[in-house]
Order: sequence, then structure tokens, then C-alpha cells
Amino acid sequence: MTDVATSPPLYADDQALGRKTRIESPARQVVRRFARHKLAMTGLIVLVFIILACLLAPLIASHDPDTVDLLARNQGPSREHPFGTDRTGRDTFARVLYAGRVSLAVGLGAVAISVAVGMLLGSIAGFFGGRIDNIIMRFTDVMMTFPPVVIILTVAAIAGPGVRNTMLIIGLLNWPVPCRLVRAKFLTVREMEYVSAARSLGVPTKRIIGRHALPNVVDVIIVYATLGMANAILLEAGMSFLGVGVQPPTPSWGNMLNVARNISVLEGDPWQWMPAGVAIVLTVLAVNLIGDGLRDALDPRMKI
Amino acid sequence: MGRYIIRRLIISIPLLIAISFFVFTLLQFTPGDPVDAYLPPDALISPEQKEAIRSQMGLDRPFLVRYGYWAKEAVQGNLGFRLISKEPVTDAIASRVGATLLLMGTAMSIGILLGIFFGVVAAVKQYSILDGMLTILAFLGLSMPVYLAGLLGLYFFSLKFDWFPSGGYSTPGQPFSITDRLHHLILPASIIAVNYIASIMRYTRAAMLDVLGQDYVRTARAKGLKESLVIGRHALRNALIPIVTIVGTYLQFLLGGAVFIESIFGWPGLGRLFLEGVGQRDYPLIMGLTLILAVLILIANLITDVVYAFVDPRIRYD
Repeated sequence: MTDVATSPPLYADDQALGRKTRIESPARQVVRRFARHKLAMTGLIVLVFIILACLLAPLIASHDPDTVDLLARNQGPSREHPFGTDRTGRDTFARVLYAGRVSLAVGLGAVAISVAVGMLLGSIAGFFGGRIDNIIMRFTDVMMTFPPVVIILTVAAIAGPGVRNTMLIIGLLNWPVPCRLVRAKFLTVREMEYVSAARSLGVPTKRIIGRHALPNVVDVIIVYATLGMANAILLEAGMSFLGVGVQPPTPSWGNMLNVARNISVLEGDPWQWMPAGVAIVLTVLAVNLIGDGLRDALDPRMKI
Repeated sequence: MGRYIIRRLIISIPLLIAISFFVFTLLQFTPGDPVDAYLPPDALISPEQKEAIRSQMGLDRPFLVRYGYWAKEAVQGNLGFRLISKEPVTDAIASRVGATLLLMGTAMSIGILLGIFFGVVAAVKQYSILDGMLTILAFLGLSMPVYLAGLLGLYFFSLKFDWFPSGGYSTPGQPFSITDRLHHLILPASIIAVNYIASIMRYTRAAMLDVLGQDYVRTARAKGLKESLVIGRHALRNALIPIVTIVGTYLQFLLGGAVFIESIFGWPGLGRLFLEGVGQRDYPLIMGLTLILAVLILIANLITDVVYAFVDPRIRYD
């Protein structure tokens, strides 16, 4: 080592030392940046914990979520029932875990639907432009003028309750946001030289969209999907809370809150509704933190 | 500006037609016969008489004709009658709209004031413990669904600590007084504002940090201005510009919050009326309310854009 050159070329130095230089792939960079984001990592750990607890519910909960025990109604927490029991003596702890499966599944399914529809319509609108773009965008304008809760309740009242309907309603009413995101990105992408190059080579439009345009929106969509899932979980819980979402006896976090609409339960038996409420907040908080961390990690201008 | 407003109003007409048409179409898919809903349940009626009522009410006409009929009456201020109580829909809405506007107006004011205040504090003390705490609280506020905040608020502040009444619009049997109304109003309005405070705070913080790094803020400081003047006059006024748009677009979410909170607190507003309508499948009411709410949102969006031009002189709409 010479003391003249304070910073010799890294590559040569590495070679001299027999090391291989590694160039980090963009995906790895994002993972590394995400791992440095403390709040986001906390969120990820909490979410993984919640998901595991829900998936392993049969192993963790000592009671069946649907077994009615009329001798043990409205109990407070005890060794036997960590979160107490509900009006029919069902174990609240077991119900919260099993409800989590339903709530998480509805959230995931709903966001998958809205991302799929939004990406399809958004890429058509953004890539082709012109009249198709105009029609699709006016349609999203209409969808976005509705207060979401109002339109969701209207449709739910017509379509009827249930897990599948809840998922469909939330998914099909939330596609305008991903649609606009994808469209905005496509409008710039389609003017890019590599797209003209692909076109002049005679690459079919479907392939141009799939290979050249869609990869550009992956990061935006990942962030939307995360935050959209938090939103979907909240909407499901809200619908079920009002009685137009997931119906009992199937437990969901929302319909477990429903009993609290009765003021004597609200005041007298907080153990029947608070655990589900805490589960909603923790899950949504964790998902929101992850979404925020992802946004920062995917944005190369952000220093983490 | 005047021309811009007129143009916006004209653009919103097809939007309103599209919205009402969409809901009208949806309502066609509902199970049940409107004639049955119209008649008392014990009415003895032959199928021929039913047919007669059907054609008298125009229900045998084609779908588009029926929509046109509804729209023609709606434009003239007639939204039809509620299915069960037979009360005119416009009357039902008119008697409840005040309560909702009061609730939402209060929630909005609380949200804007506290949100901007906390946002400025967080930005000025960036990376301090206070900033960290406010950030975590904001995340908590954004993740807290309004119905859960409502239940928790009712549980702690009304039932356990007994600071506020547990619901309603006023104390029954007492003459109207402003203090009594405020006492009933504060808790539900603050709860609706929770999400709003949190998101306005996040936006204010970001906008303030952006502005605080600008040259003119450094100039103001270099001139020896008091820090409070630098923050209040030079930084905040410019940071407010992007925040104005947030204030307007969040109205939809406030309305959603009102549906839950009015139901939890027994607040006699449009939200509870809407839930009643959904529960009773009162379609004329649902139709009318959706239309009125859409009008409210369009007006709010328009006001936002106009205010935007006033706050930021660089924006011109001509």
C-alpha cells in the first residue's frame, strides 16, 4: 500500500487482495434499505407475528372458536380464557385468532382484485391514450366522487352480506387509485425511446406493455398494494361492524366489534370487543409502517 | 375566476348524471318488488290490481324512461317518498342535514387547527423526541378506524370518566342552549377528526420541512427576524398551499366517518339516516342521499380549488 494514493481504485485494490467486486442488484439495494428502516422493520415483525398467530390458531388457542359454553358466559379474562368469553360462552382469544384469518384473507383478496382491475384499465388508458383513455378516466372520476363508505354500504345492502361479497365489493370499488397510478406512469413510459425502438422492431403491443412498460410500475403498485391492504382491512371491519360485511357465526374482527353497539356490552364487557379492536389497529399500523418503509426504500432519492 | 367557476359547475352536471344513473342501475338489481314495498303487508290485492298500480306508478315502463322520470323530478327538487314512512325524501334530508354539517364542520375545524399545529411543531423540532412521538401518534391515528375510535371514546370519556354525554344531539327535556349542544358535539367531532388530524399533520410537517430549507427563510433569519415571525409569516404561509388540497379531498372520508360516528353516538344526521335507509332498503332515500352527498362533495372540491387560487397567487384559472 502506498501512502500517496489515499483512495486507490476500489476495483484494482480488491483485485490485488483477491476479492471479487460485487455490484448490488437494485432489488438487493431495496431490501437493504428497507432493513435499515427501523419503524418499517418493527411493522414487519409485528405483522409476521400476527399472521403466524392466526395461521397457527389451532395450536395456540386451547378452545374451539365456535364451541358454545352456556355455563361460562360473559366472563372476564382468566387462565382458562385469556381474553374472557362472549355472550354465548365462546372463547374470545380463539375467536380473535380465527377472525384474523378471515379479516386478513378479505384484505388480501380485495387488494388483489383492485390491483388487477386497476392495472388492466390503467395500462389500457395510459398506453393507448385518446378516446379510450378519456372514457376510462371519466369513469374513475365518477367512482372517486362517491364517498367510499356510502357507496360500499349501498352496494352491500343490495348484494347481500358474506365473505365473498365483502371481498368483491371492497376490491371492485377501490381500483381507481391503482388505475390512475399506472396510467400516469404509462403516459410517460410510452414516449420513451426504448418503447419506440421496440415498436419499430415490430414487437407486439401486448409484449411491449408486459415487458417494457409494466416493470416501471412495479414499485408504485407494491406501495399501493401495501397501503391498500390496510385500507381494505379497515373497510371490511367497518362493514362487518355495521352488519353488512362478514356475518356471524364466521368471526371477523369487524363483527366482533359489532357487539359493542349495545351500550351495556360496551360498558360492562370490554373484553368482548377490545381484543378485536386492538388486533385491527396493530395489524393496520404494522401494514402502514411497512408501506411507508417500502416507499422510502424504493425511492432512490430518499436517504435511509 | 367567475368563468372558471361556471365552467366547473357545467362539468359537474354530467358527473352527477353519471353518479345517479349508476346508483339507479344498481337499485334495479335489488330483490323484491317495489309495489309490495309500497303496499301495506296485509293488503289483499289481486294480481290485476297490482298490475294496475304498477302501470299507474310507471313501473312497467322501460328502464331509461323511469330514470328520466326520476331525474326530471329530482331537478325540480322532488326526490320521491320514503318507502315506509311515506315522508318526502327532501324533507327527511332537510331535517337532518344541519346536524351533519355542524358535526362535520366542527370535526374539520378541529382537524385543521390541531393538524397544522402539530405538523409545524414536528417540523420545527425535526428529529427530536417530540417529533418522533408525534410521528408515531400520527401513524396510530391513521391506523385507527373511526368506529373503533368512537367505541373507545364512548367507553372512556363518556362511560368511565363521565366527561361527556354518551350520545344524542341535546339533553332531552332541556331547552336548547349552546353549551349543552357543544357538550354533546365535542366528543363525536373530535373522534371524526382523529384521522384528519393525523394526515394533515403529516402533510404539514413535510411541507414545512420543504419550505424551511428555502433561501427566503434563511434570508428572513439573517435579517434577524424573531423565530416566531419566520415560522408563522414566512414559512407557514407558503407551506399551507399544498395543505389546502388535502383539506378538500378528505371531505369524502369525513362523510364516511360521520356514518359510523352518528350511528355510535345517536347523532340525528344524514349518516344515521343513510344507515336507516340501507337497513330498511329504502331505495328512494338511498338514491336521494347519494345524490345530495355527491353534490356536497363536488361543491367542496370546487371551493377547495377556488381557495387554492386565493392562497397561491401563481395559480390562475383562466
